[in-house]
Amino acid sequence: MSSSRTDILKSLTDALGPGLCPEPKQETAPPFSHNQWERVRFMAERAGARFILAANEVEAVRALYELVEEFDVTTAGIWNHPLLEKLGVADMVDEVIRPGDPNAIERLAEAQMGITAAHGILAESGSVLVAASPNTPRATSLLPAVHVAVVPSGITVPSISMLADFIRSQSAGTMPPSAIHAITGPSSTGDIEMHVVKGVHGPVQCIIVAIDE
Amino acid sequence: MSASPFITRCSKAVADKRLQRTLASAQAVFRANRARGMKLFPHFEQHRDTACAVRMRCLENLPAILERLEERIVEASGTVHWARTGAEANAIIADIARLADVKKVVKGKSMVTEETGLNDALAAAGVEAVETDLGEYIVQLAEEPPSHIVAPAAHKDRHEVSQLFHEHLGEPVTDDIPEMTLMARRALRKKFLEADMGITGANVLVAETGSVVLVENEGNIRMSTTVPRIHVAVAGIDKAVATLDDMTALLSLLPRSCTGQALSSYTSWLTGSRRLGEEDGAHEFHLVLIDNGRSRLLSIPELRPVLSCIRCGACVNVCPVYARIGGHSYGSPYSGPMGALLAPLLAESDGKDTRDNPFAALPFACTSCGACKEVCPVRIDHTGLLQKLRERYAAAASPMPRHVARGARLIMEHPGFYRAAMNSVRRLDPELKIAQRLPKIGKTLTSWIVKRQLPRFKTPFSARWKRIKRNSGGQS
Repeated sequence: MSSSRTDILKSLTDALGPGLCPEPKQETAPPFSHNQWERVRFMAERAGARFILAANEVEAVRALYELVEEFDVTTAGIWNHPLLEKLGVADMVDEVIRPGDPNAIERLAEAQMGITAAHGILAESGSVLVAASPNTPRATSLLPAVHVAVVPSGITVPSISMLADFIRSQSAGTMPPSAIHAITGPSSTGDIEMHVVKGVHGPVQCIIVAIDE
Repeated sequence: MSASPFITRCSKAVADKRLQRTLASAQAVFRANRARGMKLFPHFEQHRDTACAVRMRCLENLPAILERLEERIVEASGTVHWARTGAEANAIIADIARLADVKKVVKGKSMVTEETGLNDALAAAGVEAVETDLGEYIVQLAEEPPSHIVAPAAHKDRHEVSQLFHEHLGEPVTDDIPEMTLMARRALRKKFLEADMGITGANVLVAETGSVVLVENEGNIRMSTTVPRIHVAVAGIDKAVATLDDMTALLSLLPRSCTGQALSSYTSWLTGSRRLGEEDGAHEFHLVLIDNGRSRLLSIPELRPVLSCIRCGACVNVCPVYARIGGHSYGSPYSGPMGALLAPLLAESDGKDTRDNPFAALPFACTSCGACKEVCPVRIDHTGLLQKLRERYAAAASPMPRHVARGARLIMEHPGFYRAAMNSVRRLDPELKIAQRLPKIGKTLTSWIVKRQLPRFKTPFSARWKRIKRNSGGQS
């Protein structure tokens, strides 16, 4: 439809002139600040998430075990991630759905839990930031009934305006990952009589396990 | 003057008791949520200034921004399509579906596809398109259009929804809303897993990275973009901004203005198609950029701010007219103050000029109270713009005949005439009873008072004002 393209650009240029689009900023360092756990807790809980602050990795492992027990998890989708390896998350459940599983979508839809490791945590809104890659598929934080995001220290993005630099820091040149998501609490709806229901198409529970060390 | 279709729809809505209750409570909840969210957001005014400046700057530089956007999307293995009209957009999307042998489509909520009538076009092409936003799903089952930009089924109560689920899904009747939500989840999960294509709108398009930004609470948009093999995003050209910083300036305000959330449950930045080695996300990504009257609107500098709207719905939730007539009365997917601006202006591109514009009556359905302007995150002056549109469509839709308007103007412009007119009316005909029997003037007055209350001239306003002030305990 190149003629439509030409037509639209022509009528825009006639109306506005050619315009300017600034050159993109170069790749930046992640805009990470000191941990702001209390702010994250307040905003995440306001959005209906659970926030667990573990003093160290040992405590985080204990918290994860407790969650696996609480939700009777037998099958969980788990990212390939050094932090999750280190915590031994895969050993906590009977059956693990790994990235690369040929039936990932169908299997994750039946799994009780998806466990991810956040790429960032946004203090202003209490959101977990995750980026897609072959080792960190999108569906792990979407299809299972419960999403647990493990959040290490030192990846706090203070404000929504700093998301711009966060996205740049995740990009190769000007190209971001195929998908970045800011996850703020469980999925929810208010579409019937404005009555809020948690858990629609995404997880019913969103749980943040933060490690403060 | 016979009642226009717009007036007929309004009268029907106003007479519908159930609708009146549902609308009032929806507005109240939206307003309370927004107020709670804003309490936690200290620099609203500065953010508004920034967002307003960002929107205007991006609109003014749109050609360069759109070209950069296209370049980046192509780099990320996506395809960009340009559509001059809604019909062209529908044809493009039907073509994408045909070429990829798509039979089933899941859709995220998208006002622009309501604008183009995409679902009908897909049905005609033999493609099943299922709305997956809960509210949209409900109105699709009911075969109705959405009535609110954020809560499409705001006009339906739980009993009506349960009845629909009973008829269409065979579910038992219930008044339990979480139970109904679960029914929809079950029905739609199946649709997501079967679908070949997901169609979404876009809240923002970022030229710097070629990213589509999608904001949602339910997860249906993430499902529609994660599971099917093709993702088609459809957006008006006005959605494009230059940089990631422009995008965050809008994102800081969008959910807060809408639901009071700092961010919605899911904000997604999607860039191109899935990369090598990835197991989910669409293999094929398409962006359909729609003009449909927007470039024409941008050529009128005084009306340009209309397109800076980020579709948060805040104005809809404070509008006293929307509160009474609901979304369907507008006859357009865009309702409330932004709808009264957008609907007629976008329709002008269909060759409908100011005289036969089907939405010409909408700008007159405004009390000029200015509540919309006060909440607008990008500082759109709805009231001022609506007044400009009233001038624009005066010939087509003004409820006031030309000779009366001319007379009124003469009186209003000259204090002497005004005083003389008021004094004589007060003495001779304070209830305007004689005036209604006069030829010409009488007919106008009678048709005017069908929907309105006539002013009372018995006591001068200055005297009444004193009494009002006294009765309200001295507070003005």
